[in-house]
Amino acid sequence: MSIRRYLTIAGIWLLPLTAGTNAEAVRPGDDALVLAVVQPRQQNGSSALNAARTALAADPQNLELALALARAAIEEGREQANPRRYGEAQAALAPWWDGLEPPTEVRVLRAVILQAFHNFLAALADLDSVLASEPDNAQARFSRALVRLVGGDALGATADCQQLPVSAGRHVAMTCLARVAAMRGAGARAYEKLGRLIAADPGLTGAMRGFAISIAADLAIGLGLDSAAERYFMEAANGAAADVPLLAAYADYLLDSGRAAEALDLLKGKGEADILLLRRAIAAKRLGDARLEEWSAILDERFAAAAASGNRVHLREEARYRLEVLDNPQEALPLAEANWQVQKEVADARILLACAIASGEASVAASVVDFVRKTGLRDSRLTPLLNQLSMMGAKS
Amino acid sequence: MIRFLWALAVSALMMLACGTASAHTQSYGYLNVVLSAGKTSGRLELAAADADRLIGLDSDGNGKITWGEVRLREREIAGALLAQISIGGGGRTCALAGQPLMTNRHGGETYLAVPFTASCPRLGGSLDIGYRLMFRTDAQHRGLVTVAAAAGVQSFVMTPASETVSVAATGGETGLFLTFVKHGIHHILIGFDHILFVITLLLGTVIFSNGAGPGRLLGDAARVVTAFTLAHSLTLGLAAFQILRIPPPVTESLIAVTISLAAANNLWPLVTRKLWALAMGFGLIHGVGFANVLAELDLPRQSLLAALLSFNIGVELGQLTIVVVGLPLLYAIGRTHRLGRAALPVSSLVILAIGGAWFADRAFGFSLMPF
Repeated sequence: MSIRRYLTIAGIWLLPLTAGTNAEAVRPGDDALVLAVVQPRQQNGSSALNAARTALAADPQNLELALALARAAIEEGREQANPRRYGEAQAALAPWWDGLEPPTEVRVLRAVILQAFHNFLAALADLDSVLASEPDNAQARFSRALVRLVGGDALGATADCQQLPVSAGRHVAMTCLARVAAMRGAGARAYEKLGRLIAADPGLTGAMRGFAISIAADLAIGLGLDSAAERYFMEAANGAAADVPLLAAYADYLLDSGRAAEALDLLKGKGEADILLLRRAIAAKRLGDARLEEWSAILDERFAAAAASGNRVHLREEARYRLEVLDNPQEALPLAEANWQVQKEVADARILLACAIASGEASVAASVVDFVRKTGLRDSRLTPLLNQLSMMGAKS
Repeated sequence: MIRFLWALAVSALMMLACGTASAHTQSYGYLNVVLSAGKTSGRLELAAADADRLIGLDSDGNGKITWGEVRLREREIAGALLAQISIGGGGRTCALAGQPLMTNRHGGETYLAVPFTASCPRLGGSLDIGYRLMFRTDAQHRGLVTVAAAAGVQSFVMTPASETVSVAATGGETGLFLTFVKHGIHHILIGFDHILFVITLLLGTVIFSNGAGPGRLLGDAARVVTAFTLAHSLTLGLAAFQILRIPPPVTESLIAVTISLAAANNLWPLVTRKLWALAMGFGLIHGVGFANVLAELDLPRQSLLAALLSFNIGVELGQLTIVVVGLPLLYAIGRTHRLGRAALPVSSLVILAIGGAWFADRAFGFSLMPF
């Protein structure tokens, strides 16, 4: 490792130590100034989360009420891509959280929350333990399939998808297998099957349908079927499943297709989740949009705060930010490498390949090349990068 | 049940697929505590949306938390937020008094900022800080705490598993004073260029005294050293408060030049009777050099003046040491026979060369000198 690179890496990790509070506090002069937008009170009654909050507040040691709140909070956390809700779920489970043998249900939810914060080993330990005593626990089985998938364990993930209990339903099993198939180079067949399911099965509705569609869109992109991907995205964006993660995936698709202006339009008024802000900043950068400065400053502060708190879980997003918005592959590369240590999905492979190419260090992406060869992973988003990398390797 | 299975699954997948994401972002609180001159003050900041979860801020329930809604209840709000932290030591706690609320921005969100002063009993050897904002409702909330004391700034992360932290108290202003006096002494004694410059001035004093008695020599030396001190104190102060800004490489090169010029003056005298004026002029440049060192020490801003004064006292003490050791030595050499007297100009010649080499190193990046 060159000295320069070593210093860059050291700098990246030391940078947050210097991050303190930045802006200067002011006293507003205008009573009408809106400080924050929250849920209006008359809607509170109708929200499952609020009902659960009220119930648990009256009886904080009640396991059933705590589980209900945790589930509602996780669901909302997912829709809004809001880690505060996952934190709320964890807080609700606090009386059982630190136990060595918490109730099974707590353990499954604990695993979901742990993996949301990228604590994969602890999540796997919980899921392994639940499945050891309850092999037919559908939630634990499905969650473990996904954690294994993200960790690059395609075989383990396949086994879990196949062992999903009948009670989980065939939609779950098929989508699970489709997701894994792509990583094993069998995306085309899985995509066709999933497409037939979405087109023909009237039982596939609501959130399940949204999930299946988002997987189908992702498979379509991987196979290079752009117009099909767009059809799925449009259906999802107009339906009930138009949540923050889906919008981010759709925005990525638009950015990849050179349609940055449409990406900005799509995200307009959709809130300030980190993952949406990142896509906005990338689009603004490509368009020369003046709002880049504001969005970039916000992302800078958020990444600095996350790093200062030791909660550096969005390494991939930060790497992308440094590469695509700040044009700084030297700073992006160590983050992409650290991310690849824990996450091995297409987007993780992609950012590391892109960083390696941009910084002219082909060798650091060797483990991605290895991984792709071993798993048989094929994806239209990786192919051009892999070709570019092998040409770099041939030259040097 | 099945619906929730999906939610969980999707949740797991999407969180993984997208990194940790957030509607606004993860929840943070900022607590800055400043210990200065026996007074303790600080500022606590929490996102307005989080404060709403904690104590309810949206009085009219319309979904918009306005400054007006906050302002009308600001004493109550400040008290409720401050009740979630504690500052104390030796088993005793400080009474926290909230001041008028303010707002701040972090990561695109508006935060309520509660400035406060703390009335503390005499604290023991350590300062204990407690922080439990939001932990009951958001286990992923993190408190980012900084404590600024004489010795510098320390940072801590508060979590539900770690709600208190103990900071070693530094003995307040006395500690600061001693610390920076030591820095000052240390700096002048390890800084070959400053030692060499002072010695060059002393050499000149001895050479130009023409064998006068120790009383007159002492008077001359005192004038020269005082002039040097006044000048470098002035520019040290100006540079420390950033009124005067000269890039360090320029300063360092100029310092080398002053050494060579002072040595040359010993050999081919231009300034003899008014050596103090030369010391004063060149001292202006050395003061900026001291300030560069001070800047590297990362001074506590709120006690910059105290730090500056103590640093300068340290520099003068170090300088005095050089004079006390050097002057009698040079005086003795100057009074010896011809051989001894020749040593004075020869040393000046050597110093002239050293200064020149330093200048070449610093201005043009040569590496002639080992230090």
